[in-house]
Amino acid sequence: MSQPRFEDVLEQCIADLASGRREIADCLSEWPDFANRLQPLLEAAVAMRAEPRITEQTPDPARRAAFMAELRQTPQQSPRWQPLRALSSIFGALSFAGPALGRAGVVASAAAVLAIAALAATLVLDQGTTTAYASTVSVFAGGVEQQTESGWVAIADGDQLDEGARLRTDSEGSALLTFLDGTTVGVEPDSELLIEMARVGDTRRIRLQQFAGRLWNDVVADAADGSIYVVSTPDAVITAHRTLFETAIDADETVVNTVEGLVELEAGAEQAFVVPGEVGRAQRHRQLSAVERRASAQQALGLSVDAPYAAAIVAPNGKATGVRPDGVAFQQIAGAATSRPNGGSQQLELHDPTPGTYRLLLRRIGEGDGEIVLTVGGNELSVPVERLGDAVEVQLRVTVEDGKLRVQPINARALQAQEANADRERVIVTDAARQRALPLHAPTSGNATPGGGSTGSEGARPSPRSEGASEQPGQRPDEEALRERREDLQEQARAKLRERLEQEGPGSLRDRLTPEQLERLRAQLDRHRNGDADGVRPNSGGSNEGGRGRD
Amino acid sequence: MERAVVSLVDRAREGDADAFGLLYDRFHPEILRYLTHQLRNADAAEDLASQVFLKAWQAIPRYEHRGVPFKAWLYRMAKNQVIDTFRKQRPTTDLEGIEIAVDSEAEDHVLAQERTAYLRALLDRLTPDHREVLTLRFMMEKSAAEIGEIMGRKEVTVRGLQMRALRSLRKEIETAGGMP
Repeated sequence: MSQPRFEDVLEQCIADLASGRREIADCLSEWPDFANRLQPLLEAAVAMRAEPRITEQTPDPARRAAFMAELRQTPQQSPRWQPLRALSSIFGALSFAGPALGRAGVVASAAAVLAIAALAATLVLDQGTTTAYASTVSVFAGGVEQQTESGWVAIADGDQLDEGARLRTDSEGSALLTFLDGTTVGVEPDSELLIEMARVGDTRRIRLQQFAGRLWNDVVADAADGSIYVVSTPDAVITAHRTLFETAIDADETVVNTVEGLVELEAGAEQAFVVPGEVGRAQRHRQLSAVERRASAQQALGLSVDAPYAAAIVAPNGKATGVRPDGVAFQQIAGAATSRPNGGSQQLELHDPTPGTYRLLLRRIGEGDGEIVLTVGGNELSVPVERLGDAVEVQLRVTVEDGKLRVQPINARALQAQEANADRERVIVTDAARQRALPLHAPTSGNATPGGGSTGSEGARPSPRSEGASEQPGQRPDEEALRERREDLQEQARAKLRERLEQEGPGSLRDRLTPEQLERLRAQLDRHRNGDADGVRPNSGGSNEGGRGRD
Repeated sequence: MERAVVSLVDRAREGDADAFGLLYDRFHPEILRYLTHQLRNADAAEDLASQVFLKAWQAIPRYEHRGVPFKAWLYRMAKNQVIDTFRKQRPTTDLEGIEIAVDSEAEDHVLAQERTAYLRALLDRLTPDHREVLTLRFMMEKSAAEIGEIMGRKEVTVRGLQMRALRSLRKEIETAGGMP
């Protein structure tokens, strides 16, 4: 007879202890082979008895009456999505939007009609080949609601949203949608969108309708033919290819900011690419106004982690951007991006960060020490990372005074293993994201740790960076050099895009673009390299093959 | 799931508030007990229990019998509410900050309180999953099978989780120098 599993023996002993049938010593003598392992765990189980027992009680009649009164005033959500119901809910959305919103309502109605057409087409084309999946919503702050047949109702954290779901955030609301392929969409305050399609089977097919506000889109790679990620706004249709970008609807235009990858922007008959470092604008009435080099952010916080740690930064609202030690990367904070520490330092950038306390989480991925360099407003601050253990949390207070961004490290502490492993960042790791995660490599060239640093778990106090004459305490570094560094990062992103343009094979970017588009994109990237990319004009009346036509 | 509960759930899904009231009567005591253990504050637990049941009322049209049992579904809602509450309040319990009271007239009571506070501080240092499984197993006195339903895991997985949770707790006890 095979030996029982330790977990099962432990369970049996716990049950016996709870019933009073046996004492710890009885269990140990019955299972001598397990005694050494059993004893500490059973003692811990007995320690749990220190918690006083709470008995269950019948609900207080007054409380029950108050609850029932409130319940009768509270509308219910609509039932879970079914294909036919989804169509009816889109019709419902159409009737909500129509009379109240005037011209915007007409646009929304037109969008809803497109949604119906797209959904109907999908139902026909995808029979038996693609499975419909939901996205998961994480609620970070404020009010986040879903439209139902009985009105807008609050969404709970962790709810699944199906195709056809329409959601909105209030002025304090902040949410994140995570699709099964790991693509995430940050929904910023005062935003509203419809999940028109959310399918991740053999190919990723995600279509969103954005009606208002800002979306921060982190679209993962999918080289499969027919893979799409499309955001439609009242002004434009935005198609993404493995991209980190923002779509923002202002009063009379849609603004697209590309940080990584490639975005196609279509407005009416006009079409343009928006590459990293550029901003594309499409005015109302579907006129594409311009694609131009993005002005350097006035308020940017840079973090260079030159230490054997995987870093992530958590914003005051709980959204996080960074990398976990298992290689899973996430970019939830609007305006923030991260590189991966694959043999080099990890770079994090936050543009126009919201004031508040941020938590920088560092988890060890290699041996040795190093430093973190904070860059803000033309100044650098070096934080030595010495003998800090396997996990560290550094708190950074971010304020804006007299229009200037200020960042101050206020606390650092070592994390216990359990704390470090706990979900300090709220990341929904899908199977696809886990499979895609690559092993991390610490920086290969160990940084010489600046002298005078602090030690132990209370270490990481800021100290002036002390390498090189240009970075002595109190001396302002060369702002031009910092600007160049930021542009270097953008150029790196464009270089990656150039590489992808040259890659061949099924599903490659080359395969998806027409020869004319390919040529135009190469020229656009070359103009950046030559430094004359300001005011890139869209091609009018260009081929439509690169955008919706492919779907 | 009991036929009576299934029937009440079906009626509540159709908007029958009275049916939901009966579900409230049936499950409120247990959910309240769970929340009281989690929050360690009876008043806050009462308030949160009301919120949990209101959210359940809103969401019950989306509940499907073929998914998790209704009670487990309620537990998950309660757990999410607890997480939200902790996220907003982020209570911190520092072992060094716990005063060890001395009262010669009620030594046992004081010792019990001291042990409770100490244990809570230790539990706060565990991962949410470990804390959850220990709370359900030892405070709510649930079996591994019941915990599996509530946490959405297999019974065998719960046993492994329970073992690791006890190991973590033991380590915390040792790190803290033992139980008082």
